[in-house]
Amino acid sequence: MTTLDTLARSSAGAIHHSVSYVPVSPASITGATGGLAFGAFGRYVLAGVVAGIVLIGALFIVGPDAGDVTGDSVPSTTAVTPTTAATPIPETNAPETNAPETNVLVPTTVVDPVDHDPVSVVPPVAAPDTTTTSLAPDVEPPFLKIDSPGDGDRFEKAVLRFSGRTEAGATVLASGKFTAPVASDGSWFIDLVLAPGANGVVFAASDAAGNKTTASVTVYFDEPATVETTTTTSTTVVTWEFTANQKYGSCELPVPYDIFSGKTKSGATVTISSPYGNGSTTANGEGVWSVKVEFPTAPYNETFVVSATDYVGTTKTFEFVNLYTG
Amino acid sequence: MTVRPRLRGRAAPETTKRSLDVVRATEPFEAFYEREFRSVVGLAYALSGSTSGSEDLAQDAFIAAHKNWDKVSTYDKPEAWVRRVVSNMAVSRFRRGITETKALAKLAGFRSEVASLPDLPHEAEHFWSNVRKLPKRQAQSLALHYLEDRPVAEIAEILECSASTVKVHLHKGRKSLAARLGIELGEDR
Repeated sequence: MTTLDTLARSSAGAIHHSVSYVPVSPASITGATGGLAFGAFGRYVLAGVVAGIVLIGALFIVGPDAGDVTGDSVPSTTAVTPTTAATPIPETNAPETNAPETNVLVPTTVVDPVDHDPVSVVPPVAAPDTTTTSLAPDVEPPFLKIDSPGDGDRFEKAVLRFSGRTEAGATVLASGKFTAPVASDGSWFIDLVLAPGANGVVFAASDAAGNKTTASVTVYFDEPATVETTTTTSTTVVTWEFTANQKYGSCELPVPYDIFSGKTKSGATVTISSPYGNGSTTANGEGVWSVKVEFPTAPYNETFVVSATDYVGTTKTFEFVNLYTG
Repeated sequence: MTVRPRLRGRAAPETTKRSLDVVRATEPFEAFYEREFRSVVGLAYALSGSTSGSEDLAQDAFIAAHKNWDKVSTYDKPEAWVRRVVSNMAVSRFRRGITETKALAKLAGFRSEVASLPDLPHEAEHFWSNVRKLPKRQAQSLALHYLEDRPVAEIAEILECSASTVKVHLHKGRKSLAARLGIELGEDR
């Protein structure tokens, strides 16, 4: 490690230590965005007002000839003041009018119902009692209904909101690990990220006594297609794909080089080309290829493009830079 | 970058329930904020040099994240997004602040006092003030490298450039910084 690195690490540590005193107040954003935004806005305005007062005061004290002393004329002064006062307010400071629903921002403190043993947490049935005020144990599981989405529905977006209803005071868990906040009226929802294809989600509602109800729904995420493959017949089945990876991206050796590798069709030729060096190789029986390409004439510190092309013309591009200072 | 070909317009077959698990739930914004806020303030300070300014910058970035949380939360690394926002804003604010301060000083002798972080040693302040004087991308790369100990690939993701470009920024940035600080850089691969 160099002296610079040592100094950098200690300087970084000093900032980490100092910012540990900076308070974190999430409520200022999640609950009072407008107030926070005005706080920042207020600082801009205050800075402008103070600057204006100082400048006006200076003009009164020094007099109109001040421009001769400073080398600037009075119009320059008046041009600066509004610039400071009217510092553009970031768009993010605008009052929030269409903020996303904040239900997902509310932290849940509900105990994970998965850890409950329904049998053991059900209050024991009391012995026959002579009093008439004893309460019967809660052995009835909470109802659970998934309102949205419907079973078998298809979507083309990855984030989907699941919502439904359950018994007030119950907790709802999605896929055994994601807690869905339950409102006082028993309604709940949770945003989940779907994987491409079929997604089965099991919801479990548990009440305070440990009674549990489950319900499930399966939805499909149809990922939008982005790249078209080569096809030769109407019933083409794609059994390979061209991939290319770059190992270094730069080199500090006298003869700079890089290593490229990937997969393609078995036995296919892959060509690497650039303004300062070329190479080619043939994929093995499993379609794996790798080639080392030297760039002996590459100029110092000038980034250039290197292309990897397979036998059907599919091309991947990379950047390379020679850092040999010689 | 590898592009994986996909068949166009073909929906996943209903019979293949291969992926029956939901990948993940979107993280609540509040948890994200509490986890990342301080380190983002640190990054903002390293690049802007103003305590109150860095807190404002961090707040602005998080407000932007909150307003777009439906989208930002689905990114693989929302923390990279918020750092990109704050690092760009911090450099801009630092340079605008210099211009304004110079103009005010020239016109009326007004001196703007920029407060350092509490307990920040003079040596550290001197180091980061020299980082701020580097070109924008070099300063950002060095801050992310030294302050957050991020690998080249992550810095490239945050700054939206290639890994080799980041390497060049780090190489040049370290060289310039060592010269500014009067330090012998030595041999490094």
